[in-house]
Amino acid sequence: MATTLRTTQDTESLVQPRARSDVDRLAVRAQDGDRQAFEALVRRLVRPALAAAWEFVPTREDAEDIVQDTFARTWRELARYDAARPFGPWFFTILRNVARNASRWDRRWTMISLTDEVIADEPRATNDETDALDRLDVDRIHAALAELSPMQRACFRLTGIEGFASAEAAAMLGISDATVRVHAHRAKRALRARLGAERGMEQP
Amino acid sequence: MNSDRRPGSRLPDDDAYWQDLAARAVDAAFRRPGRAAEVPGRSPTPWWRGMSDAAFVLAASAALALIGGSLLLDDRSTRTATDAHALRGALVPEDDLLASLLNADEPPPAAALLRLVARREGER
Repeated sequence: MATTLRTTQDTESLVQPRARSDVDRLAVRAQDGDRQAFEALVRRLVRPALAAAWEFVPTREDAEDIVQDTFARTWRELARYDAARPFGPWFFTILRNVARNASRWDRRWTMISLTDEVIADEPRATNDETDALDRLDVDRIHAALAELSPMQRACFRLTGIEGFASAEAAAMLGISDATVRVHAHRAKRALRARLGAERGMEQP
Repeated sequence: MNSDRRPGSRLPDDDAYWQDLAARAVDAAFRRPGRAAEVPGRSPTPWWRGMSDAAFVLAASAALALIGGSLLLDDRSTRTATDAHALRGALVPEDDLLASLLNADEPPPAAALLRLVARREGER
């Protein structure tokens, strides 16, 4: 079962607070009107952008629309980007705003904003939990995911399935790293409770 | 692109897909004809949005000077309150003209200044 994550090669620099990353440098060049740099930036960000967008709309096609609108707005608004800050969080703020405009999902975003910052830090999930979930079949995972809260589902899917680092997921969702880990941990605990008995997993 | 992806990932595992999506996103950004996605809710940017405050004040001052100069060409010595009233009325079309030139989606400051000039002229 594959456990090695590779998505960080696309997003490794999204949330670095100090050193200017490749993504940041591309953004600065694009800010100066370099279209090739912007195209490279799109190629670097399109995958995490779709992953993030898909957390807020039901279909891949809807998520693709958000991605396209997000990059269009990013290009128009690049002059507002503060090059002293990491580009990733700024970009995903635009993406979330675009997603928020999809009125059908306003309630979902409201829920997310309400749950942020009110959750105390909890222990990180262990590798054993992740490995146990790896052994479950995909259909059962998705069925169980559907019963989670949207925020737990988003945090678990981005970090546990799609392989983004918790800091990257935090930037994508606009919440803190600790909150992502808490939601992901609670999601795994809920999934274990629901699925564990069927596969002989240890119950919490 | 994602040869060691996790089971359950719903992100496509196909380079061609990502290249196409990136191309569509670039098209949407650059609004290339034929493929560009229209972005709703975007109104044309007024021409003064890109100007600095100083440049805008300069432009507004120039506009006022032009109109003020035309007023000074009148024989001020014979102007009466009635004349001023007529003058204020005469300014209205230019005020409207300037407002239309500004294509304002918000009240143009220059037009407001023109109204003030006209009002003060009327008070003299």
